[in-house]
Amino acid sequence: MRYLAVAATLSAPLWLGLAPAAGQQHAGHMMATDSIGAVWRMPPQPIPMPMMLPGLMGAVPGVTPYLPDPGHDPAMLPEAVFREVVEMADGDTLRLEAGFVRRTIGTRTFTMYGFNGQYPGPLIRVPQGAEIIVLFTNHIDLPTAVHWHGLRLENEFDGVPGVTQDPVAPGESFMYRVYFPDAGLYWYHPHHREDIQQDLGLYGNMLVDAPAADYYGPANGEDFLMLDDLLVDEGGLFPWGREAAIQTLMGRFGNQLLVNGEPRWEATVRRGEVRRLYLTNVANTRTFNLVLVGAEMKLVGADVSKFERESFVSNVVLAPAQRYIVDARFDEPGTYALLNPIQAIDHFNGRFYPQTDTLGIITVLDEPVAEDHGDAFSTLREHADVIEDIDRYRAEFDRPVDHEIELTARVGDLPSDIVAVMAIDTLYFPPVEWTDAMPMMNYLSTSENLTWIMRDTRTGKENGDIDWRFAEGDILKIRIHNQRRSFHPMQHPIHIHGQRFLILARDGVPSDNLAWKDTMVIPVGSTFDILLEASNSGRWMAHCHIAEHLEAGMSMLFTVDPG
Amino acid sequence: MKRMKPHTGAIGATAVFAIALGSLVSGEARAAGPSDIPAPAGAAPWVDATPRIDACLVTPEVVPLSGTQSAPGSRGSMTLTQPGSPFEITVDDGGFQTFDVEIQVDRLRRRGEAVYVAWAAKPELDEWVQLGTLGEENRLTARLAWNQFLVFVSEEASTDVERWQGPIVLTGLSPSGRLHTMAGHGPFEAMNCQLYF
Repeated sequence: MRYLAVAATLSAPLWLGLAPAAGQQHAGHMMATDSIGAVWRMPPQPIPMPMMLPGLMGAVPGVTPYLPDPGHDPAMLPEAVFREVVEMADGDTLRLEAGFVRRTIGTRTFTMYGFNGQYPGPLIRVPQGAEIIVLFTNHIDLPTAVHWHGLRLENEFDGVPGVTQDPVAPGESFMYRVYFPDAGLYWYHPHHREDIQQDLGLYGNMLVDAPAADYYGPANGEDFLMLDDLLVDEGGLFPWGREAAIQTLMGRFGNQLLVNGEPRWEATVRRGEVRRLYLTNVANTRTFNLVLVGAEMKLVGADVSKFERESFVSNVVLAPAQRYIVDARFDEPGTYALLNPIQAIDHFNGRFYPQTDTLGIITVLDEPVAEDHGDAFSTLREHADVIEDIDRYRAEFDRPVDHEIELTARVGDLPSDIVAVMAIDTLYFPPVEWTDAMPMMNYLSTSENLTWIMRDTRTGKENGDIDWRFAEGDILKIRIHNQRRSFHPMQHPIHIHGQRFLILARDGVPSDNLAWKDTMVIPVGSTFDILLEASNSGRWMAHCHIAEHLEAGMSMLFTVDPG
Repeated sequence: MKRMKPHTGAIGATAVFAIALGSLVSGEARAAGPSDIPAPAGAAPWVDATPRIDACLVTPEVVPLSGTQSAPGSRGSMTLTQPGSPFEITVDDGGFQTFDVEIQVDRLRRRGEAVYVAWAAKPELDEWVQLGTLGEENRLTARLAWNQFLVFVSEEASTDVERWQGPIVLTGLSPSGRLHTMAGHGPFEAMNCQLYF
């Protein structure tokens, strides 16, 4: 069977948005450099496959390659230090600075960003109901802002340039008043070119402690794991697009997985210990499937609340921006591996293949833990406080759908051969893409030649043209469908700012164990019904949290008027 | 709902796979009316069931099951949906997508006391599971955590079989069977694709 006779029809220079080839480089690389030596080259491939479609050898994204530029010898930058825990009380002030750091990852050193010179950024720990002041200063080379992900705080401090504030220019400052109304695990990150800035290390956790000491079950210790990945090759950090994001088709998957900025997380515990793991996915695109081999795991909480009921789980799936709180118990001495086992797709050969990365090792000493919480761990608690809170909304579960959103994509000036090959290849798409299965095609996609779309199915309005208006106190049922019949369908972690919601049903099947959330991942072809509590006035954003999809347009606005 | 424990082994299943693929490729998946197909001797009348495809935004993966030469004109469907999960994405600890499988056979001539057992096998045919036995309504449900598989129904004398023994009457492929191999085709046909296997 013959599909395309493209090779004979292709020549460079190629299509709109693509730089002309300047001579064949090794392995099809195309050199285009900026002032600090950022060079476009083919991205690393997860498995052997052709570097590029015939005829597209030498094609590069139609934007300038970007690498962070401190403006002086990077060797003079301070080496980043591991994050500090900053315990704060109501009314306290934190100075937070985004700046350049040197980061040593494994045996290699990179110029990256850090908050307060740390990786990850400082862990801010506050009591529920506290409000703190954050005096933020931008010392990186790009405009930025800080978004306080998941918090139902005052709208003007949500940190979204173009919506709630102007970007903070290099050298400038901004004061945030950050309010913590809900107990749980949150995180902060830039909301301006986060495809670059978050990827380079600008992120940190926030833990909001509930007043009740027994809000969670007992644990012997706790660990905060921020899961990330970074795309590197023999040339160093793989460049980002300066004028616009690249890799907008599938998002930017890194090939170096990181936990708290390190290639491998290590911990030592005692036999019988129960550890509370606070998990946050801060990757641009990658969804993780965490397995703690040999240890029991109990799922306790999600983004903005605990679940109605605890449950034992064999694995924890986190999409970008999602958080989960999990208790793990280690009964026997030895080593336990924290793995990320996935089934990746080999599009070239039309098959799946297993891929497992070791993210961490926990060593369990043959010394019994001082206080054994085994019985409590074995008991699955029902969280009456969560159930009672949700009870106030159950009468609304069967309300008609108020709004419908469809998730899809539109192709612009992607090379027509890529579009044609994708048409063959998109006869099947998995519910989730766990790796970059088409790095060569993904590489050429930018936010200028591909648009990811949130479409209001009733009005036909898309992305920034959508502007829903609610009143404070409104309860809304919103249906979101991830359209399978589109150009390269993909899962989308949808984040709604400033509010909380419940996932009522997935593909028509009601949820049987609810938790309040701010981010949900919608697999390809799925339809979610959510109940949104419009509880916080202001003009807010909802968007896909794959950073490159956001840069490619996948966001919308809604306004909650004061009640 | 039944949780499957896969069997492992090298079997003479290549022939089954070949039959299944052959039936799809040869076009036996075509819809055929009862009048098109002569009833085999001793066979019961056609059983027709109502397709269960929801006409709304929910878009489950539905693939056809096609009658083989042993049961020409038989047909059915396999619907795959994702079970609920606290994580919204339902995969197991090996990263395999977990599916609720519903097999609905719309047309099948049942023979005497025969029972009809549904199976799934991996493409390499090194693992298979029994999905269950078709009930009186020619329907069964099961849960399966594989990404790519062959599904087939065999005609058996008894439900107590660890491996199919009777003829294969219906076959189909998981939706991921549409995952295209680009090796050796189209723009890559001039390449030495063996480099990438």
